[in-house]
Amino acid sequence: MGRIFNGILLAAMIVGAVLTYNMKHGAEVEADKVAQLNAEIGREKETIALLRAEWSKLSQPSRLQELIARYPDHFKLAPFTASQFATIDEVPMKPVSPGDLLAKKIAASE
Amino acid sequence: MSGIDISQMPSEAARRGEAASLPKAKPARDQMRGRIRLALGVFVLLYLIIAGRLVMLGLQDPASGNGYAGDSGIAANRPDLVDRNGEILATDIKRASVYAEPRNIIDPDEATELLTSVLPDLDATTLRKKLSTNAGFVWVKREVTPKQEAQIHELGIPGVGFMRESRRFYPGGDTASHLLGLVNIDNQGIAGFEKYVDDHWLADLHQVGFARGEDLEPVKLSIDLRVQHILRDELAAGLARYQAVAGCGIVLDVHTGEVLAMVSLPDYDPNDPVDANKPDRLNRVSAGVFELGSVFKSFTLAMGLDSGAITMDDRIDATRGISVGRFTIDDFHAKHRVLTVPEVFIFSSNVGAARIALKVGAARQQEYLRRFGLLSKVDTNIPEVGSPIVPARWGELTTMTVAFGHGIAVSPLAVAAGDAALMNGGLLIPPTFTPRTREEAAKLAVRVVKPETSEKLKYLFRLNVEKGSGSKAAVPGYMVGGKTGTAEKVEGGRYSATKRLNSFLAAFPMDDPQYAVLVVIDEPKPEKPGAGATAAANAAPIVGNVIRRSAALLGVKPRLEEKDGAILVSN
Repeated sequence: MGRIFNGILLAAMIVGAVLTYNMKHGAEVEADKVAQLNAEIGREKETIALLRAEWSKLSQPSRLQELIARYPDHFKLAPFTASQFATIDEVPMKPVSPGDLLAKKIAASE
Repeated sequence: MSGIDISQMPSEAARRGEAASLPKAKPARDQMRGRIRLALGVFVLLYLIIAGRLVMLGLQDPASGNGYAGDSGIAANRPDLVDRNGEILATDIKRASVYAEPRNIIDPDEATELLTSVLPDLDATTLRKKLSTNAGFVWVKREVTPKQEAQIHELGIPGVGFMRESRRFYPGGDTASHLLGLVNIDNQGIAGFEKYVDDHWLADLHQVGFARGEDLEPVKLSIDLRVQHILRDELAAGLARYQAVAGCGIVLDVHTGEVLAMVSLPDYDPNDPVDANKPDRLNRVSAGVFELGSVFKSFTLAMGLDSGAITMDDRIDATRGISVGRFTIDDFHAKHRVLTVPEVFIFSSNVGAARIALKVGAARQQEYLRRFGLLSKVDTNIPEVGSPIVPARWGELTTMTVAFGHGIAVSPLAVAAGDAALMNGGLLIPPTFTPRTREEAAKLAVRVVKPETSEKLKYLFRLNVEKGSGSKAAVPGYMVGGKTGTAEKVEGGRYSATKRLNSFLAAFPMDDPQYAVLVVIDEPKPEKPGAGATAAANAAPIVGNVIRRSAALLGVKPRLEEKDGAILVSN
């Protein structure tokens, strides 16, 4: 009776030890992964900052203006004038053409 | 089976019963039980301690230190500076620097050879000498590219490592140099808005050890990068066209006091600020003070009209100059007749302005100038602010000269803020470089003139561009109004007849002013021989160009009486 009980306890202990070791090892591996990912995130953030700075440098108004001035044939851009602004209210309604009226009539008669 | 088994031991009550029957066995058994209990207690305690420690270790974060070392930089982190639309004005970029520990280098010759294979611009002899010493630390190269870093890492030279440093980078280069300011090698702000950020909160944050990593929120400025570029571009073009030595300009929101653009030329590249400390590189907008000349007539007329000393229908005698002692005040474009008040403004009559100032009186004149904020330092959030130079004695002559902007030197920023007050209905709002809403501005605003006075000034400003000296600032569709100022520069204690400081103070659109613009150029020459070199000929067209290009970006809708030929159709 006691022997069986002791045997069970021994087995439980071994199983417990193996499980604990496994878990600990797994946790270590995961912790390494976390550290690696954090490092990667840090690097990515730095790269993003670098790229954003580069984009900002490339899209500087002064640079764009210089490029447009240098290649006028390619860009065909010019500063806008006040007459190029209008609101949607100022745009007149589209005139109704006779063809449209006829099409409407045919649609109605069918 | 054995006496050690505690479960087989009799209870306390039973023991007492037994005690009578087995008196001799009692001492030995009791002793044994006590020992067993003690041993048990010790073991239980031991295991409890171990279990508790395990739980503690389990709850702890895994020790950092292995892996990423990006935060070990020497220079402090700074927040990005962005403009009102979120465009980056200044940012930190991390660069790796290569260092070596010569003490730990086994073969200096081999290390030198390997390092120069990746960094060919390094001098091999000096490097070998550096690595052959017994020093603990030497820099091999500051700031290498990520690619070079990877290559050196691949080489795996013992005793060679990297240190990451933050470095401030201004993508716009010199576009907004004075405004953004500078940082020193330790990434601390030493000028301009950078210094403001430090003084305000960043330095404290660094002190207590926060502000690490990338979690600093970007700081937003009120600047619009596009308008800033336009102002600088037009000003630079103007300086070249009129061969002027220097110039500055500012665009201000009249309702909030936000600075949309601020330029002072000549300037410097904050990425390589070698000549930032040259005396001619000062920030002319806020730190420089100048006798700005006739733009001051706007304030003289405002105080005359506001105090009731004059009305719009009054006539001012400008038939001849005024002589005070050995000085004579005369007009540049003398009309030699009696002028109406609007004529005094649009012909820019010194005599007329002087007579209006005399009617206002010296005491009231000073009081009004104080209210306009022209007698004190401007209250704003960049550190470089110049104090105005105010005459010590305020006699009759001073009253008259100050009326047309001589004898008093103020910063262009103060004049622009005063102009904004004249245009927005009479409220002086301290200029700011951070975003501010109209509600916030209303709380800071101080009334300086009545709304009616503001209306009259708007009329005069507009009239001056329609019919007067400011006609070259006119932009179709945007109703520009403004006042020219052509001041003679003081040279060796007397006013120079040839060197001028020209300015144009403007606002638009005049039916409901939104933005104030001030441009000042120093010592312009005539564009071609025979042409004038007054503010009407150079400062005014620069302002016109700035408004033409930036008005739409600032959200001002053009209103054209007739759409000059453009026909709107839908298709």
